[in-house]
Amino acid sequence: MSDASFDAVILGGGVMGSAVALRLAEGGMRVALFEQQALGAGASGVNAGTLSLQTKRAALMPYALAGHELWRRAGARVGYRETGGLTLAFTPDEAGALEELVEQRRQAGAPIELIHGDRARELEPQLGKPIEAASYCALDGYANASLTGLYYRGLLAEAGVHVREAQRVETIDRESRGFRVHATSEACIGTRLVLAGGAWLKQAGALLGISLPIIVRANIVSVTERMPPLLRGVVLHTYGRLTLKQKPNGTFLIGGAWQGEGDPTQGPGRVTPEGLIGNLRLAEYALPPLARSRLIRSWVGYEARAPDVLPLVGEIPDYPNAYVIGAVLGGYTIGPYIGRLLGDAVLGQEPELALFPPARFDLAPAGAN
Amino acid sequence: MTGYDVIVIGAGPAGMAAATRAAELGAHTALIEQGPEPGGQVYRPLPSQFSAGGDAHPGDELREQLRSSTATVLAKHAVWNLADGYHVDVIGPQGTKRLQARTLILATGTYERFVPVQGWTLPGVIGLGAATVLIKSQQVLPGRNVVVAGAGPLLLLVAAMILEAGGRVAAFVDLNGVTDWTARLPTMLSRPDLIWQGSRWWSRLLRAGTPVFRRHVITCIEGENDVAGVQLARVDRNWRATHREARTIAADTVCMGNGLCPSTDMTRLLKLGHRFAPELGGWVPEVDENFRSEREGLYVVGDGAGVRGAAAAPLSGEIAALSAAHALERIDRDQLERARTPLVQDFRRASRFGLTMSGLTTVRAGLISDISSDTVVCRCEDITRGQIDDAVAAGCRDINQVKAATRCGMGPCQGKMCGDAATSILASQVGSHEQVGQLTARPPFRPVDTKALTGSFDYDDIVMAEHAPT
Amino acid sequence: MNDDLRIQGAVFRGRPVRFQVDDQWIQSYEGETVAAALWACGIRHLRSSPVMAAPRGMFCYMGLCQECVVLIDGKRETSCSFPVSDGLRVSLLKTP
Ligand SMILES: Cc1cc2nc3c(=O)[nH]c(=O)nc-3n(C[C@H](O)[C@H](O)[C@H](O)COP(=O)(O)OP(=O)(O)OC[C@H]3O[C@@H](n4cnc5c(N)ncnc54)[C@H](O)[C@@H]3O)c2cc1C
Ligand SMILES: Cc1cc2nc3c(=O)[nH]c(=O)nc-3n(C[C@H](O)[C@H](O)[C@H](O)COP(=O)(O)OP(=O)(O)OC[C@H]3O[C@@H](n4cnc5c(N)ncnc54)[C@H](O)[C@@H]3O)c2cc1C
Ligand code: FES
Repeated sequence: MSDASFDAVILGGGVMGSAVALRLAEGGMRVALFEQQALGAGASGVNAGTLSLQTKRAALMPYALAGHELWRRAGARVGYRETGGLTLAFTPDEAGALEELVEQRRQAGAPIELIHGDRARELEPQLGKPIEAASYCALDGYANASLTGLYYRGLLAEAGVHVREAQRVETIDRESRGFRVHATSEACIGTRLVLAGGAWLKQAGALLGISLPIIVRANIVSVTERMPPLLRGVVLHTYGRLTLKQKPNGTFLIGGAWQGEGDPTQGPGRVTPEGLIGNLRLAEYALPPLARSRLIRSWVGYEARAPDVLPLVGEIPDYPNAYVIGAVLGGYTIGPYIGRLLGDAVLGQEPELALFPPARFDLAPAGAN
Repeated sequence: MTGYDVIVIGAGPAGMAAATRAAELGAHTALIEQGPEPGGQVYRPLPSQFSAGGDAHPGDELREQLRSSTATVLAKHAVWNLADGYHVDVIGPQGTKRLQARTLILATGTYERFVPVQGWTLPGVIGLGAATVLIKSQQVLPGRNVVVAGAGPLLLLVAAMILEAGGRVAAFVDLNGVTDWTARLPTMLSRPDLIWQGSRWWSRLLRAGTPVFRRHVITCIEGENDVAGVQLARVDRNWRATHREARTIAADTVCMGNGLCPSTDMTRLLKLGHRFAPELGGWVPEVDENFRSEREGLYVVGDGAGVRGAAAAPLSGEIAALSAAHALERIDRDQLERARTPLVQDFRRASRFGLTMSGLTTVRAGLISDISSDTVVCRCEDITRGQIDDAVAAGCRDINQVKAATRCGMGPCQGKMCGDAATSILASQVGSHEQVGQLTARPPFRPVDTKALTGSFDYDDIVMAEHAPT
Repeated sequence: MNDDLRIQGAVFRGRPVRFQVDDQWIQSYEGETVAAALWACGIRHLRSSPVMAAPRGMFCYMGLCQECVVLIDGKRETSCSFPVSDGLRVSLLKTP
């Protein structure tokens, strides 16, 4: 592929890069996608897989609803399940906060209702402790994030995207014909460039000479061994610090963005006892029978955030034909949709919902001004 | 957080020797062992409630030296997580705690390697290692009429132990032939004691009239809910079944194993560099002649650094302890060299023998290609070879992709039983072990009780620092 | 395989104890593990595999394979490392 040229070259094979690539290929472009490890090896393949509207920021709700719908259509190929979900408030303070959150999210279009704590326990009889208040959303559910790579590998191949795995983009040069991209052992030229590097976006931006305002988070997720059926749907906590579900195979998946440690440029992150134990305690508080489970695996996935906790999706100022997509809170849910939106913009069409242009930040590298 | 100069993980021969020596040299040392007592795999002691009538037990000497040293032994403590620095998270009878040390010596030994075969998941099929422990430590026979199959020295050991204990060996099924053994005689001669022991075992087999099948493999284990018998066939040089001399043998139990592979969960979690060295049992962490890794203060000793056997293990532990004591300025370079030189010589001799033995178990290609597509590879998740092949057909090229696509290696054993077989199957199609890599290690190293981690707590004890804006 | 597989004469075992497996009482000795005690009296089918519901039992005897997991006093434990004691209640994890 050394001198091949493409209409667009994409850096990163997570949900974001894959979704953009698919849209561009649909739109008739010749697309190459470079992934340093394997498709879905980043956050997109190791996240908790919760497809919940109750954990989404109101500002992102229309995107979340649309993303949710796309996962529903992917169905069994990604292990999609629509189980309904409960958000729990254990204290009066939390109950107050929940009421406000539900109101904001309802206004943003999410079908969420506030319910009584007792009603929550009727829905999920194994829940423990006095529940002050709860909210319910029938659309909530989950998919199996481990299947992300397999799913997109199939779709991208079908769409004719040139997927290059184990190819880390190492340099990007701007030239008259576009962007010359050098990866581990291959190179090519793209008229357009999309940076979809997830938690590695800061380094990806640096290849182009810009400083993307990326904050990296190291989220812990854990799995128990198979248990008898105890939970039907998704269980969440008011402040978003718990996502809990029992998969069809009986295992429990426990998340909630408790923090481990690590640096994405240094390989996999590390689970910390404090983070893990906090997460497990909250899970056990919500569902006491978890005390009888055995934990079999915990890991850390890297997630990118922008300082204002809104996505970075749009054209990079001063770099015509270069785009970024990432830092989407709840990005697994939203990814397939927001990737399409950016795809539309790259194709020169008006996206049906607004993007989140990076131009709101100063992207000059430190010391450049 | 409790701090030490040296923490040794694993109280097999390597760990016991390392901890004893480090403590003797003045380092504040802790030895952590998940089992009830020090001993490890070879020197697994009898349960304390059993008594053997005064006989000395192998390993007693190492245990005695450890006991009289100043090393703190934390038995019944399992390490479930590790981090640079070195932080060691243990879980014991009192719950979980974090220990810290300047030097970390990993001595966690090996697992047994299993090449899956039709029927190997039946109750009544156990590992060769399991058989040794059952007999030695629990004084229970694996069965009345037992097939012993696979490769390597444990094969002979297990067969002899069964006969000694009054059982019958229905068939001794060795992948190797006579010439595979005799080709190794010259190196074996360095340990006349072990040759003597081996020939005693042999004569035991011959006296008992045990049916011996050399260059044979089990092609299928039969039975409904328990073992009823096995089918055998002769193998070619590549260990591919030829279906010549095929036969069925009735048996109530099968003990099988294909040698040992270093346990690399900890070194993978710490992201050490590894290399694939079939002669050492598979993937091994990179260490220098002092068993020091690329990371300062981090050592890997015993069979976990490469399968060299029980005689070499304590020597590597001592060498590492010396090097650590030097780095901690407990001894000067002269003292180090004086003590090291004889150990290194002994280590070389012992490991030549050990390596020769593990060489008998290096898996040959035919054994892997013969795994049929309906054979379960991953026992925890019931994943067959066919499902792994399908994942390869769908474009999976490294072992973690196969894991994500199939769940192979995602169950409670975390790939300890299937990892080697699954990577070998993948490597046979993709090209090499280097290309397919290793399963990513994730804590805990073994399943832990959730309650042991959470302890008793109130809602207010759950510190929910910050949360995402709404 | 229902006679006792304990090797006789080599060692003195611990105090005799009795524990319950589902509805059956098992004679055992202190110092034994639950898995070894069950094995000795021919109880080898301990659980069913999750997908195929195939019979499984103790395999590695090192605490690695998790094939010997049963419920002991209501908790999932590896029976190969769990010592017997008087009155333990063990439930096998076989799906009918
Ligand atoms: C642990 C965890 C749990 C989460 N739980 C949920 C949840 O339950 N629900 C939800 O909706 N969202 C969840 N999220 C968020 C969601 O996973 C992410 O927002 C989303 O997956 C991000 O997708 P991405 O494509 O931007 O990033 P990634 O999936 O990380 O993809 C980026 C890719 O770029 C590649 N790359 C980077 N640099 C280069 C380079 N130079 N050359 C080539 N390739 C490169 C990386 O290898 C990586 O594969 C969670 C996130 C984490 C980390
Ligand atoms: C099942 C089996 C049976 C064997 N039988 C024999 C035999 O009869 N004769 C023979 O010559 N060789 C035998 N071998 C080979 C023998 O194990 C080695 O040559 C020798 O024991 C290696 O010593 P070591 O100290 O490196 O490891 P080991 O003796 O294996 O000791 C490792 C120790 O680390 C502990 N450990 C592991 N992980 C943790 C953790 N997370 N936390 C706390 N502790 C931990 C283990 O409990 C173990 O006690 C056997 C091997 C196996 C696997
Ligand atoms: S027999 Fe393998 S864990 Fe008990």
